[in-house]
Amino acid sequence: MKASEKIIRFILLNLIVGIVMTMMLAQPSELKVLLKQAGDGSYDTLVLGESHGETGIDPYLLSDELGGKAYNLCWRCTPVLELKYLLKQADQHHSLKTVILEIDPTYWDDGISGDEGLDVDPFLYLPGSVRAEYFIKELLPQNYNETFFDYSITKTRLQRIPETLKCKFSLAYLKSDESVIPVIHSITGTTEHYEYRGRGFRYGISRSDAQFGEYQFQPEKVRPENLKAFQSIVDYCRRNGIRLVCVQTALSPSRLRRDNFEKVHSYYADLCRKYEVPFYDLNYLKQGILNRTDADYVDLDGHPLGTLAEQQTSVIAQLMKSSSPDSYFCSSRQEVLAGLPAEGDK
Amino acid sequence: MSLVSLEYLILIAAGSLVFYHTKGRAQKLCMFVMSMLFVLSFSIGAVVSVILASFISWKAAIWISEAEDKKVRKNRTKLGVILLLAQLVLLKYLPGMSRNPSSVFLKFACPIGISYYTLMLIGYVLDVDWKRIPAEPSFFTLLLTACWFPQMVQGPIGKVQEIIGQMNQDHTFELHSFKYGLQRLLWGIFQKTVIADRIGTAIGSFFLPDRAGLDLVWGLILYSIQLYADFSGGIDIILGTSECFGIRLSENFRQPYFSSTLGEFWRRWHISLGRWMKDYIFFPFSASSFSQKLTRKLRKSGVSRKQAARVSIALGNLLVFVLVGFWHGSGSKYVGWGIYNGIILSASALLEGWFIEVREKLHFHGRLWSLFRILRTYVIVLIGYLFDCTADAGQAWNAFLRLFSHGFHGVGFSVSELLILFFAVLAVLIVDLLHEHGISVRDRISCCSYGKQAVFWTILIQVIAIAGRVSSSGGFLYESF
Repeated sequence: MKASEKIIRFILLNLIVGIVMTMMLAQPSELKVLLKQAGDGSYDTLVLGESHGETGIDPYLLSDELGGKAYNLCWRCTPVLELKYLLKQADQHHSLKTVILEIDPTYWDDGISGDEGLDVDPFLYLPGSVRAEYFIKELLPQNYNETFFDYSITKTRLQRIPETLKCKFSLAYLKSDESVIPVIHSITGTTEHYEYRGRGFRYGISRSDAQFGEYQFQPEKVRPENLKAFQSIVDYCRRNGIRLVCVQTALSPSRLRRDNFEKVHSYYADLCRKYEVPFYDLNYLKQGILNRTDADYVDLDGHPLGTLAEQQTSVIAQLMKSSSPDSYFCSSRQEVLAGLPAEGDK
Repeated sequence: MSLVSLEYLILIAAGSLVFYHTKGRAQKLCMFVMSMLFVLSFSIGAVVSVILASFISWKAAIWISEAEDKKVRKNRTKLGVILLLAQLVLLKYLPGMSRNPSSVFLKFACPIGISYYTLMLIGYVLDVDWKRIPAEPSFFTLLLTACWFPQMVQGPIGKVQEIIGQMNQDHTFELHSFKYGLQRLLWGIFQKTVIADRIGTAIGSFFLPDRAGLDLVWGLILYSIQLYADFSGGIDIILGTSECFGIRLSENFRQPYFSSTLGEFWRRWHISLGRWMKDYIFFPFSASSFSQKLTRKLRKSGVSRKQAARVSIALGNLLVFVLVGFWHGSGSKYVGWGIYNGIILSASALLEGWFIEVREKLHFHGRLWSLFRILRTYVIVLIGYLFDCTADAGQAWNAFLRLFSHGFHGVGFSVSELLILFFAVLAVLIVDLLHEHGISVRDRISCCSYGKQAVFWTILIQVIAIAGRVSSSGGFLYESF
């Protein structure tokens, strides 16, 4: 066998093994489906962010309140620097007029590159020029095994192989039809407390007893690449005449009492002011505007039940329509804490 | 550009494609372009720095070789060495002392590889002065030797005369050599991503100020594995990469944790730095007039010839290790580490005669005694790692005292992570044991059929893909030097 033949055969063998392992072990890509839906050119409002946005902002209600058509492209565990690529992909037909960026500080000071296998690497479903930019800027500097070989072997993954393959070879998945999302949820185990309502929105239906540790935001630990990604989003919106609004969703009262949310507020208020982007921190809303207790949440991390998500969406819409949104907000941490329900209040 | 990144692998693949389709000057130009692209990926300052250092040493070497007068020759040598050292101090040590975050120093601080190529070029200048090698007439060839991209991140500190000849040769593609290079590279990636980075996620917690006893012991053991996997793994990637292009760089590790003495350890660990220190510090010191005078004085006062020589060796070792410590950094922990090793080696040299006597009298020999010596050396090295794992010499001393207290907060890894680590370390241990006994693992695998080889290496690639995913994967530990 010639040297070149041996090399080519070896490369092919590894490609085949990589593809087969990816097919079997990497879970079906929900984001692939969401992106296709969001990028079909019929939406003028996009919600972008992570899991608090995914469960906390109802795109149907937003459409009713603001007019137009909204899509919720928030997705759990999406690193900040991937958000700009999702935005570009969703706006490929240049139909967007408004972007609501949900800010979750826990993603800004962390080197989180997405939990592998939570979804297939964006590279595999970002088409065209966005993929090229993502490949050059994000994938090339990464370890090779975090790019093309995006899977691991666990007992759960091995047990899920038949369902995974069935889903991936289904017509709905191949066509990126929204009807496959509940199937993907059943494979990934995200159906327990939520119901998929369409347009990327997960409606919280029951409470979870999951425990979450304390989170203390440290502004000095915000990673520069995340700041750059934010700037890219701002620049993109500005260049394309898109109205950008930043929002921090309302956290549970017990979390507000425990974490240093005033540092988060101060940091992002300054950041948004610097870039001349409105920032609505729903944790600073005056008493009576968005009343809530811990019982209104699926979990105390801050993922709301559906009813609270609807109220929260309505408030966001009001803020966006208001000529004086500042009048909705408290001016200090003390005022916020004073407006919270008493501890233990359900 | 990280040595384990996709872009690095693409650089090797694309580079070798062009490399093996060119000859002569075009091939050298290809090597230069690859090297510049690599260095440029870190900073433009790094490019400027290596070009400047190469120019200084090239010019100095030519001036030295042109000088007929011995004194003029010495002065030109001193000037060349001083200029190279000045660049190193200016770009590596002074920025570390700068407390001003917007200092202009910091913008150009510590360009990649400066500690490694500076020593290489100082060695070159000295070798020209000592007439071991002729001065290289081509600046481009010397620059290429200094900036050859695989060795920029963490050495090895090669000798110019060992590499320069290879730079001038035409290299034709040989599957065997290319395959061996890639295999070694893969083995390096395995050690780095599966072992070193995995330990790196938890190692910090073992050296917190409230940790003591078993926590510290376990932390030191983990660190010893992490450091070896990181540094040796990185060197495997470097040597493997270079082998892909037919350029052989010097070995830097020889199963160091199997050493019976600390001296032997330092002849097996970071071999190239030890060799440099031996050739350009230790031997010149031993042959210096100071050392000669000291030996004569000791002989006159009744000390035996052997013992007088041991005093000279002890002082030489102390000097070498203080400098080695300083080479790593100017902080008290580096100097403290250097003094720690220097004192032990000096004491070993001075007491060598007594050790031999006692050993003979007590009949210490055999396998058990060898195992004891290996473990003893390992413990000495572990204690030295306290300097690495703390912020300064004072904290290292406090940590040493805490070693004798109680404390254990757990192994720091889940069961599955521990199992992955265990089997990965076992694999490295087996390979090292085989190498220690002169068995080349690559040669043995090479003897198998193509199919078996393909399956074996595919499995290794998949093991790295699956087990080498660590969220806090960072650079190489020795990259910062």
